[in-house]
Amino acid sequence: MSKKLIVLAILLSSPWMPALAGDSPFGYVYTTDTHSKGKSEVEQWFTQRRGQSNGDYSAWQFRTEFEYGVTDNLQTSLYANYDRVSAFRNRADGTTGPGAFVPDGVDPNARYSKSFFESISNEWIYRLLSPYKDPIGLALYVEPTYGAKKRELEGKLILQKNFIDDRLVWAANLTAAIEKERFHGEWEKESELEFTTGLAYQFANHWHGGVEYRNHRGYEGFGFANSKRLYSTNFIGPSIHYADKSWWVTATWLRQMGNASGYTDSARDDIIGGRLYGEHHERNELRVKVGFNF
Amino acid sequence: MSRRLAYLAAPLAVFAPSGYATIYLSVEQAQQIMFPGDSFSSRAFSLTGAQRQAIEDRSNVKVRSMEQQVWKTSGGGWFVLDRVLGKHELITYAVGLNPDGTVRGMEILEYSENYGYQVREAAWRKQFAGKSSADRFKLDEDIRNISGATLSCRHVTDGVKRILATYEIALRTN
Repeated sequence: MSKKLIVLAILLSSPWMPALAGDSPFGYVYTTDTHSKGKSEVEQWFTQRRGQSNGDYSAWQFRTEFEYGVTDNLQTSLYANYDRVSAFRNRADGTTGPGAFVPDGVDPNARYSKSFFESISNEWIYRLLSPYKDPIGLALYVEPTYGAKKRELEGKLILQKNFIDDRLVWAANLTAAIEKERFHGEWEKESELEFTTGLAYQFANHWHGGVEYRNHRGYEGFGFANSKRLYSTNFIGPSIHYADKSWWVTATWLRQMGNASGYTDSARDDIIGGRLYGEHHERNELRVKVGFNF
Repeated sequence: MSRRLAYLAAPLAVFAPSGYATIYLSVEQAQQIMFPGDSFSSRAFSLTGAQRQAIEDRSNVKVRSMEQQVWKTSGGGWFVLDRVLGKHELITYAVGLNPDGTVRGMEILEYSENYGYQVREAAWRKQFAGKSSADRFKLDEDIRNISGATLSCRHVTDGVKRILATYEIALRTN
């Protein structure tokens, strides 16, 4: 599997890939920019999630994405999500898994490593207001995801405001998602709310530097009632972005802040030193995105 | 560790910063296109703080540089060389003004990005001819926007508006 991933990455980065338009200075926060009609882009994402409550834990999430401008304000994309995990005694009790990409039944005292295909997603973004023409940019986003062990429907409200001749970019996203994940042999329903925001400044030609913040909340079942709250945790970190004529790259490092809240016994058990671990939460996340536009 | 590096190294290996710049016209060529046969005398000057404030108040556009590259033509017109930010690089352009302060023409001299380049199209640039500082210079109103080049359209449009305000504040009486 890993050799195939490397070959795919090389293919995506070949020089014949033409040049770009839809680059973002943020790793996690979406902006309201969409491709104009008929323009396309290929993006490759690498996200490393590292560090749980104990031992050694590292998960790589990969996304290979093709984006296309249907109209000047409507963009769609199709992407494949595939992962690799390596865990050793990562749980709070000093055992290996389960949770966080580690299935049931693994040897609790041995390292677990695996690469696997996760899901396919189809993203749609419709821009209602442009930050370059209107007082504020506004876009709506919807994205269904389908995988053998994951089904998800995600919606976003995207805001963007530019300042200082568009050198300073502020963006914020409010995301709501409902999902089913196959875990412990059953489909578990969960809902998530996420607020992300970022500020990036173009400090030199081609270069943006900025900061991003993410609040992630989980809810039991489908819905966002307070009585169904599971957890809330926060991340913050720097981002750097470089764009050239034919490609761009963005890197963001987010660190969990240490002020997580748990609303059930299970969630509280997963909070150690103020940080939430368990399923899909780590101490550090590093995301690198590269894009080629044509 | 080596496997992780391989994932990252594969795409990064082909990246190499490119120092490109596409120059379409020299200053002299742009001058002759807009004022054929005229001669030009440099009237470069620095704005005062008060002039800068007055220009920004009048145009509602930030002044990027106090140094103004201006030429007076033998026919009484003005040739102004300026730069505005594109998405990642500066766009170099020039505006020709008639003796009465209306726009005679606008030329893109240097454009270094491969999106937004549609501002070079003659049909789009032609919209500025005849405009004065009394016009709105608002995209999708009196200036047509180009999809996929919105940022460049807006910055160049703002630049022309600022140059017309500069004419009113600092050039008209010269």
